[in-house]
Amino acid sequence: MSDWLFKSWLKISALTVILFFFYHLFISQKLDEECGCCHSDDEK
Amino acid sequence: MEQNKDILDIQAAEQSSRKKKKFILCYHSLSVNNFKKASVQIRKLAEAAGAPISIAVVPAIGAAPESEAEQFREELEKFVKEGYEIMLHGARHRADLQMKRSLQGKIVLWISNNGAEFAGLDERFTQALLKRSLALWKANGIGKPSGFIPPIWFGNKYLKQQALEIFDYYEDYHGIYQKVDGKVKKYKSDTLSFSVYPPAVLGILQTYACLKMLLPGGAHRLVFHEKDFRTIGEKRILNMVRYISTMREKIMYRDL
Repeated sequence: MSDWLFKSWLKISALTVILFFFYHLFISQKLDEECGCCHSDDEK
Repeated sequence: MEQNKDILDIQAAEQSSRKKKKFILCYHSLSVNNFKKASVQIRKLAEAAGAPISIAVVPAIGAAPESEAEQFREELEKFVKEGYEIMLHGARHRADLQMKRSLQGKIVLWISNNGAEFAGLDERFTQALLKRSLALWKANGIGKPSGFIPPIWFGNKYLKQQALEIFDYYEDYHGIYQKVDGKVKKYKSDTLSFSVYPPAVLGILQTYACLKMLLPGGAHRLVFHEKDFRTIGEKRILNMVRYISTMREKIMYRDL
C-alpha cells in the first residue's frame, strides 16, 4: 500500500514538474513578446 | 438582426464567465523620493491593465525640499482625480530603531533590512505610529485612503484591529481583511510580489504568478515596486499584466 502510494506520489510530482516546465517555457516566450503598444525606448 | 443580438449576448456572457476570477494590481511604495519615476511606471501599468490601479503610498515627506514635496502632493492629487485607489503604506516605511520592539520584531527588522516599520511594536506604539501615518497622509490634503498595508506586509498582533477601526481594508501577506458588521471578514488573496527575491529566481516566480492567476480561487494581489522595473524589466512586467488581464478581471480593494 505504502509502496503504491509512494510511486503514485513520484509520478504525480514528476508530471507536475514537467507541466510546470512547459508552462514556464510558454510564459517566458509570452513575456518576451514584442507588442505594438511598446515603445522602442521602453527598456531604457 | 435578432440572431446577431443573441450571438453578442452569448459572447458577452462567455467573456464575463471567463473573467469571473479577479485580481488586484498594486504599485507599492510610491513616495516623495521616487514619485517622478514611479508615476510614469504606474501609468504604464494602468495602461497595460486598461484601468487605473491601486497605489500603496508612503506619506512621509522627510527632508525633501518643499518644491519636491509640492510636486509629490500634486501628483497624488492627480492620481486620485484620475480614479486611482490610494492605500496607506506605513508612515516612513523604514523602521525607527529607537522604538521598543519584541524579539520577533527585531528579527523581522534584521531580515527586512529595517523595512518592517510596525514589526514587534506594542499596542501603544502601534496606535501612535498608525495615527502618525494617517496624520502624514492628511497633511497632503487629499481624501481618505481605502486601506492600510503594513510595510513588508508585516504588522504585529494589534495592528490589524487598530487599522480596521480607521480604514476599510487591511492586508497582510496571506489575505485582505475588511470589517463587516463588527466582524472581521477575510478575503482569500495571495501576494505575488518580486522585489525581495534574488534575480536568479525571478523567472520561476513570474511563471508561478501567471499559473496562480490561471488557476481558480482568490482575488490575488499582483504587486510591483520601482525596483522590479530594473530587475524584471518593463517589457516583461507590462506583458505579464496584459496576459493576466486576459484571464482575470482587474479590480481594486474597494470593489471586493
